[in-house]
Amino acid sequence: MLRYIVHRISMLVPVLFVVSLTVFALMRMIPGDAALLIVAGGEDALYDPAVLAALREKLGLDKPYAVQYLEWIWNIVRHGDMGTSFWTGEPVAREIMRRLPITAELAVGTVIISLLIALPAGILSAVRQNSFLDYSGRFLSIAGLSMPSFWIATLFIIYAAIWFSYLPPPGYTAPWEDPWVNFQQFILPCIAMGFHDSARSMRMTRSQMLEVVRQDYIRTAWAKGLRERSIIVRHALRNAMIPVITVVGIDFGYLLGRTVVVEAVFSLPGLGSLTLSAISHRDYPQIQGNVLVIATMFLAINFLVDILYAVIDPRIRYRS
Amino acid sequence: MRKLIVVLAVLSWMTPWSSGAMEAKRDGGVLQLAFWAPPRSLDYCKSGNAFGAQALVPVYEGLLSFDYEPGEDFRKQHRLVPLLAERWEQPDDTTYIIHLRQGVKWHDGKPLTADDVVFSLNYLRDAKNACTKRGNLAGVKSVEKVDAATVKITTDGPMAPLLENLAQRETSIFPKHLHDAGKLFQGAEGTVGTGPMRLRSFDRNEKIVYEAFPDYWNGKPHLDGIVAYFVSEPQARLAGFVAKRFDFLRVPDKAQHDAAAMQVPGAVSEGFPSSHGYAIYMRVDRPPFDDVRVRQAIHLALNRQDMVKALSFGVGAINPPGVSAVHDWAIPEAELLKLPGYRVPKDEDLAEARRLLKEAGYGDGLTFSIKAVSVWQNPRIAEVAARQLKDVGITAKLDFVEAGQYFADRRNGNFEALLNGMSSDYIDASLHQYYSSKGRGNEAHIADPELDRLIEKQRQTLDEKERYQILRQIQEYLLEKMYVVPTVELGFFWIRHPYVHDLVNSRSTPAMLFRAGDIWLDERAPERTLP
Repeated sequence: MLRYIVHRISMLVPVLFVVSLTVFALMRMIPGDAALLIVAGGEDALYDPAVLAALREKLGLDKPYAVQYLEWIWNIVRHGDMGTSFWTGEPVAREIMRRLPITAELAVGTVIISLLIALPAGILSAVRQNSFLDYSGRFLSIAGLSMPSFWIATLFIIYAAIWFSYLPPPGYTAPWEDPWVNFQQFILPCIAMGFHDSARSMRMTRSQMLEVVRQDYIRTAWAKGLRERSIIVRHALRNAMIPVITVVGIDFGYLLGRTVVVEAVFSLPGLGSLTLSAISHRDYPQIQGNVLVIATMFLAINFLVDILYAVIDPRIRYRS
Repeated sequence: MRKLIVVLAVLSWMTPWSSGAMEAKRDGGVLQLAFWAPPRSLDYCKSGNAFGAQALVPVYEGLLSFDYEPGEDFRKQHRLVPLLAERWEQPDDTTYIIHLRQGVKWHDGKPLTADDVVFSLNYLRDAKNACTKRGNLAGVKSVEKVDAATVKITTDGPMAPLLENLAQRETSIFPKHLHDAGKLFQGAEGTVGTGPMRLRSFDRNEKIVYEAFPDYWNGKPHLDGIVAYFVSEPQARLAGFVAKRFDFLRVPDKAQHDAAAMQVPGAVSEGFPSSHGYAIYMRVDRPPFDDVRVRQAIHLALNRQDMVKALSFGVGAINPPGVSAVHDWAIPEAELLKLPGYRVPKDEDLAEARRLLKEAGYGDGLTFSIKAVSVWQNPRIAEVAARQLKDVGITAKLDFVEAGQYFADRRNGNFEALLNGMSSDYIDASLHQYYSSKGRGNEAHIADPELDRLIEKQRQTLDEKERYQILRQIQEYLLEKMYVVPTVELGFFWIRHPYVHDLVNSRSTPAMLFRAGDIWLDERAPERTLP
């Protein structure tokens, strides 16, 4: 197991190198001039060519691409410095650290809501196959899959405003500063995203449970006279959850990049909205930093899922 | 008895329940609104785009201002009123003597002096400071202090738009003492102005908070403060307005306006045309647009009345080339709508367009691409225009691109035609930018010496009536040459809760908080404290 962990960690470096090169190259290939967007400002704004040239020099955009890349990577490796945002002039790393907890909380909350819906619905659906409960659960999962999370989010804020004259507090308040405000800020976006994401988990839970409850050891458990709850929760669910955990874990990684629209709807200043605005401003250092951080987290989460997989399933642990 | 009746009548007029009584302006309360996006920075010089200006308008002031009155459209005449300047004189064509208002204080308590004015205007003019709106002081030769309360501005030649440029929001005055201390524009501490609101806090991820400046030269503001949240999503802003989180809203279309008005009984709203028009902008140095017949055919084919109806439910304006329809110097609408290209029904114009195209060698049809930004109003206008051009045998292929790519393509001349937004709030700047052969925004490559001559002539003509006549000549010339084909100026809506009073509708994109010190909230406003 230890050798496996060391090997996985060592693979992070070349993967992140490829990611950094890819994002650097892709951003340079997109049409648009970062300095022009700063000085021109808008559709009809003027710009002074001398000012534009001076700014390009200040931002290092007049250097060859290879030099720009090497300087950026060297600063990260040597000093942990991801550079300064072209748009705001603030350190990239500082802005990421401010926004990452928001996106992470949104992602964690989404997964929790998703599992709170998916697990009971999936288990009930499987255990009461072809009953009203089963059909309701499946209908709910289709509905969740069909409705985009940003649409659900928009309906939430519109109807909350119309019916209750209520709008979640804008911005971000950390849970340790004011748990109630934090809860209000996150509950609706997490439900909007969680409901959509629960669909796949619910269907997977249902199909896995259906497969597991037909196994011989479950039949043995029934024959031994164990209670239904004990059979389902202690024996069936654990085995059924292995692929579900894998999917949820991978989904969590994708969630880090999927939150952008919901963040915009609820005015949550997360990493997703930061990345979107950085792309529109051609804020190269910010985009590169954001993508590197998200890629690192995605790889780390996948790694943890693999470890968790081995922890849950003793068969994998013994084989490795 | 007669005396008693007179006294009672006077008392009756003075009592609050009289229909002729003035409202008592209530002090206190916090105004809340939503800004679409945060400013790039608090550096007013470099953040001179619309969102930077929006955030800092309540804080900074200039020497002059436009005459913003609630309920009036200041754009019609651009009447100037003194602000930090108390009065001014023009002893000759190139000299302006500005007398500063006495008793004006900066937010940190220091007094405003002529040194601040000289510093600010020279700072704006200095190319090394890379101020976005450096062009506002084009033509200024020198700015000098005469005495502690007087400044002299000298121009290279007669400069008719100078005073108007001094009234623009970006030509604000900054404190020299902060620059000397190395703190100018550095965070909230370095954002010190003379305006009715001082900056209390700025968090680009959430909101900007202003508090009333009690020593404001025009009297203590009625409000305790203003909070502006950064909300990029239009539906979230709409929901916030309905939930009374935001006290007023600017919406781009009637559908959103009607939805908001339906949910807020008693809401006060106003529809108005923007002075930000859209035009088909062509590479006139290349075929087919180097042929005036082709340009005229495009102009004749457009049905602008239908555009306004279809795109903004009848709220909007049809403008002549080069100027906005909202200005007094534009060709009057009644006259304009009788001209070819603007008149309805379109039968005669369409026939003439086809004839012109045939004469120009495009009788079998003409195809070109129109590039447009894929957001805002641009795609909708482009689609309607393309549909209308089909009626004369023109196939306009629409190429919607992301904003960054659009600006790059426009700058590099990588287009056949663009659907371009063109602000003509400030006529001199607009004409120089888009139509002058040396214009920095002349990506259409217009090179017309006669047009250049007229543009310079209006700049140098100080007599307003004469200048209006030259502007009229320019419009007629542009109608003949049609270098840029104007489409429409679409309408917007402004809606506020009934408890908000004396709010100036800036009629700009985005909305600006002019005369923030005059705004007041009545007792129906939600109870709020300043964060």
